[in-house]
Amino acid sequence: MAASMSDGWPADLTRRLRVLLHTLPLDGLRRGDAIRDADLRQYDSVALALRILDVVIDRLGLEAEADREVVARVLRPVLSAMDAAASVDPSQERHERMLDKLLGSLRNDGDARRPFREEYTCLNGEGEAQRHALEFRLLLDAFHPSGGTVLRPSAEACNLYLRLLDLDVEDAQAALEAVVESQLARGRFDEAVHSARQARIQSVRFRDKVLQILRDTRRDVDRVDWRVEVPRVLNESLTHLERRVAVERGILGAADERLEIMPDEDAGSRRAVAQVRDLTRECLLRHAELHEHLIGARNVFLDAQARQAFAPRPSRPLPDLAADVLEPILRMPIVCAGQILERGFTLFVGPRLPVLASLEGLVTWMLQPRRPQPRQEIEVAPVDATDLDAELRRYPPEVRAAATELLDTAKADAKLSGLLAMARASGASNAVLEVITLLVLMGFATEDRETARVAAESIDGVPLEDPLFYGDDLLITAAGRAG
Amino acid sequence: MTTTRDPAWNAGRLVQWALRPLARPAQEAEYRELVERYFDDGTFRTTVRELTDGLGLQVLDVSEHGVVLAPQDDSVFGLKPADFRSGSSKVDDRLLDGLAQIAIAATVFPRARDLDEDPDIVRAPVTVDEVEAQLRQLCERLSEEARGRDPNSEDERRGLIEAWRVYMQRLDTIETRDSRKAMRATRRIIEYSLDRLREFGCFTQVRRGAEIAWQPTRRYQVMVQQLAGTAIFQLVRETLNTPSAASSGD
Repeated sequence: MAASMSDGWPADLTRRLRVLLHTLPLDGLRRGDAIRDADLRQYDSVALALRILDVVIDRLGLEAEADREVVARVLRPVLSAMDAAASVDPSQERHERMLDKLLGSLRNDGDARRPFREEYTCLNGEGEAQRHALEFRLLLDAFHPSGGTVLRPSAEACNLYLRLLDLDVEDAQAALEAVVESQLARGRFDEAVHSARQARIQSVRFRDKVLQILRDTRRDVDRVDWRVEVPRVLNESLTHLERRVAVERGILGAADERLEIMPDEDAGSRRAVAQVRDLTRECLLRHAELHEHLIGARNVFLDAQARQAFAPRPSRPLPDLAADVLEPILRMPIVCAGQILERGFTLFVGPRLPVLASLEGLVTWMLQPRRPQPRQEIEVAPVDATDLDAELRRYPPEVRAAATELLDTAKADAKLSGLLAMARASGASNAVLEVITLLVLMGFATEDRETARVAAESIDGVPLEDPLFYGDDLLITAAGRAG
Repeated sequence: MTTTRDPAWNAGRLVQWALRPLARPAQEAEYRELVERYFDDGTFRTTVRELTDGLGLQVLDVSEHGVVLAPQDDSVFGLKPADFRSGSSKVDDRLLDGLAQIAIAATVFPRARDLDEDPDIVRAPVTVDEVEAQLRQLCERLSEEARGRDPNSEDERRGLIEAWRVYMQRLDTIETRDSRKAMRATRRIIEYSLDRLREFGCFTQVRRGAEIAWQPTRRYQVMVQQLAGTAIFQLVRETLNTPSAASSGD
């Protein structure tokens, strides 16, 4: 019976089936091509999706991880090429739209970014068919410490993309490096570059896997199995690292040797070999850094255990916020609901800063000088509007004295025209006449008659008859003359 | 500079940084140095924890993204519904503000297991309409269930009417004049809540197609996932287990 069962459903069939299910979202994408907006139909979404995975995986673990902008930059020439093949003019707006659709599909935006869920059937030990569900993500938005968000592939997406769904990352890297070595030896340099790049991706994955364990430990000791699983992974990793470092040194040596004997004219091959050398050196550096992490790993665990003895931990089971919290509160009498919200509210908004009054701050604020004017503005010299003498000072003192004397001799209620005629008759210079006119004008329409020598009013519509001045004639009165 | 000072001083500096929701270790050398020290130095961690505990705060998460703190019960750092709006607010307004907070969290985390996800994964942005619909549909269902069981004036006086009625009243009173305005009144409450959460570094505003959406920040995700979600659940359970409060007024 048992034998027939394994005939009916071999054990590793389920695993292979699950591997296959991971490709279904891409299949969905492809089927969407035909029903998409007419102006987007020239794009092959699966090809584009793979290009996206390629760039996000390539950037994984690097200082500058891929964000939407990076992906857009990489995808633009591909989209343009697809436009050209369909004789369509490229359009940035259309490219952006397509990119959003692709990212949305890979992130499962349509289902609120939940994991993809694929159901499948397999036979259990008793030969009964059973339904199962497989949940996985392909691409996700992750917070980056610098403040923005970056696009990150899920582990499943990395495996899917690297066509290594069934392999351990360690083995895969060893295989790839063996391929690099053989390609170098056989002079297939361009392919060697490609393989070296793949090997580098594997080294990033490997490093991330180990660092993830350490990070998880820092965050929550209970999440990782430190009794059996983690020591095993760490020990294997150390052995793996030592082997990899030896192989990578070998590749570096071989590449250097190649470069030495290669003729300078063979620039293309030289460049390829140099690239292999750089990529391998990068792997080597990453592995050396990882080695340090591994050596210190045990301490991370002990530290984390000590630290998390105090850390708050969500009590299980986790609530469905709508059904287990919001609904019961809505059903409660407002007195009870109010009490819960009063206590719970603060947890959802986080700490606020209590404001303390600072006397020093208040005084400083009150005494602070006016803000300086911005530099761009042209500085305007302040005009002292009460300085009536400013214009008079243009004239020499003797001229001013002569003018004042003539003005003082004028009769009350004299006209300006008459005064000027009289002054001119007495032989006054034009400068003296100007000063007289100025003094009279100062007395015209001023609010502060005390400061003016005379007071002047206009005579309705009578023009000034004088060869030197023009304007309205003014009537000079004695008021203010005392000043 | 930070190494030469007393650990207590450095712990104080770290708490200061933690209280600035927009500061990031990636951009502030001192903050980064202090977070690293927190990881590396056990004594320093204890000092920080003692200090925050004394201040009425608890450390929810420390990472390269920074420190996330939460106020403890009766902490001076705790923001009460009464302080949420400038000026005085009525009991009903405070209740609605509280309900809006829960509805926002429930929209960001629609399933229980969402609370268990890696807080580094960016959750989908939410819109005011989505939050409003969540709250309104629940209230409408409860209203349907309670048909024909209207509370008397004595119940109202003693605060025994159910919380959903307050939400529906807010909808009803305005609906009598203009049905379109009704939505606007409840929407405004939610929009105000989201806007205030933005000031606290819990959300950012993003465009989703033609509409405005609100993107939860990592800080908000950590706060709800690590503490608020389960803590409020605990409060609800405690209240339901208290005999006098368990009934919904009948």
